[in-house]
Amino acid sequence: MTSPRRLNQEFAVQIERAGVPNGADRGSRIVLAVIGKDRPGIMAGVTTILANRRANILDVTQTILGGLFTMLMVVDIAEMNGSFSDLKRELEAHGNANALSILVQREEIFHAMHRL
Amino acid sequence: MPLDSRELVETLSMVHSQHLDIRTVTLGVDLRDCADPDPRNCARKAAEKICRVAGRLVPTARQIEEEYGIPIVNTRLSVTPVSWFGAACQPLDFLPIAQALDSAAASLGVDFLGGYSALVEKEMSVAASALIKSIPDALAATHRLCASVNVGSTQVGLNMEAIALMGRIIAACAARTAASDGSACARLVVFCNAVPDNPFMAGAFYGAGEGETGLSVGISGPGAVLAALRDLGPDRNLLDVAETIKRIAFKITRAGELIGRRVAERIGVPFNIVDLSLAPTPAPGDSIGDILEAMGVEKAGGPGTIAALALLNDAVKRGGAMATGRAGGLSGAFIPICEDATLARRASEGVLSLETLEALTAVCSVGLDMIAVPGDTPPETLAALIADEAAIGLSHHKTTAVRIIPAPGKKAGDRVEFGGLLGGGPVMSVSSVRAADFVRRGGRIPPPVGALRN
Repeated sequence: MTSPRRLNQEFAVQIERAGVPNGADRGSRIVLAVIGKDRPGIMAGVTTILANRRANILDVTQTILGGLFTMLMVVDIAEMNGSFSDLKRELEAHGNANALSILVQREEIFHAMHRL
Repeated sequence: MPLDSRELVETLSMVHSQHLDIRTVTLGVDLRDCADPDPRNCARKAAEKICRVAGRLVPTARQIEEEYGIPIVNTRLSVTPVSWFGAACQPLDFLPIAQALDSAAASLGVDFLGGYSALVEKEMSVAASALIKSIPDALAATHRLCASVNVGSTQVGLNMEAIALMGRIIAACAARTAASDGSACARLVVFCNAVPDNPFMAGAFYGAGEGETGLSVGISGPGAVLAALRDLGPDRNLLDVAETIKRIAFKITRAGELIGRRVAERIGVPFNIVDLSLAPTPAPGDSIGDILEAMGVEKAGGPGTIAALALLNDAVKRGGAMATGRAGGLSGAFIPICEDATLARRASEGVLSLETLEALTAVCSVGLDMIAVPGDTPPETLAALIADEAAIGLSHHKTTAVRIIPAPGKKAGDRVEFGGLLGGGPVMSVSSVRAADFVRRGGRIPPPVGALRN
């Protein structure tokens, strides 16, 4: 049986190989917030847009707060087709057509405000 | 460590419901190389240089605003004091320069351009005197140009000749723009201990010791501070209040610095400073007065106001200084009456008086800011008010400023409206006790002996 210490070491190596996030690659990450009245298909609609543009979802938190669908996503747009502004406009248009509030911002601003 | 959703939500609500924004990104441009004996050539060179250096400022700010989701309320330019680079002109006619700077600012889409300025804390040079006397014409002929005059410093004292002159200049500015409640006075600041890297208007200029260009940021965020204090509730003690404000100020400052750095990077200029002044706007909930009242002072201006503002001012600096190594500019709370809906309301109710505002100057920066007073206030009284404010700066080694508007035809209790960020507010009453004999003496008020530090 592998010892806990050994497992920790392997985990550390894996993390190192995966690449610990640093300032340089944070520049290509965005935070996406989606808020609206809950119904089936909200997440599918948003993620389809991301998939079509080859924007890569890194993290998702989704919950229902008082009947409101609220979703926060961290997305990497380094390999994305189109510019940040293109994506933002497409998501905002999707939001307007589906009564959703969709906010898109670079992740860097959140790190600046919450991390030393 | 990845961000957790609480942190994401906090930032989103600071921006989307608490008015967190960047008040200004201000690009400083050195114009000393634009000196020319012909005023028109000087004006042309200055305008060309500004358009060359700042051509991408506004579109870049708009792009950064979109990407980071934080509004940049104003984009501004600050330039070398016109009385410096214009001093070579023969004759000393600064009006073409004023108009060229204003047109350049308009064509670039920036909101304000500051630097129609003279520094006369000890004596007035020929060019400085000519510039000051041209301020009413210059401001009446422009829309975005801002003027400032430094009349004192802790090192050399107060130039009472210049202070007396500024009383008359302010009255003349009001008269030249009588149809708009004397609005030119909203673009004119009289300083003691002016700083060379202030990004805020109307007092921005790009002073001695600055580089060829430099981009500075002025933070905002009274709404975010207010929300945090409301969350804290009414029962926690003032150490907890200070700690809460400090934490919010840290976040606001970090956001401001990041935005400033990114704008500077993209237009290819050095990043200069972050000004840690909490700047209010006339928008509901974006008020310094609301913060003071959330601390427990029933109405801003009542007993406790000075103590509450002192706490706020210091807590913002503590958080801000931790967040950036580039703190500069004025870095003190602003209490501009017309630009802060709650302060304006308390002033119109008579709770916040001119005398209380003078006392508040001791614990913040720019004490008499955007104050409308009766149009028949004598120029000597305006000068004496300037002297009082400047004396606080003189004795306390800090910047103080006066931006006062003697609204033509208006009496105490009337209202003035300037619109936009300049807002509106009541005409405040001024003591009728005469100061003319004091102001007429002229000369200089010597610096405090404590200024001899070497």
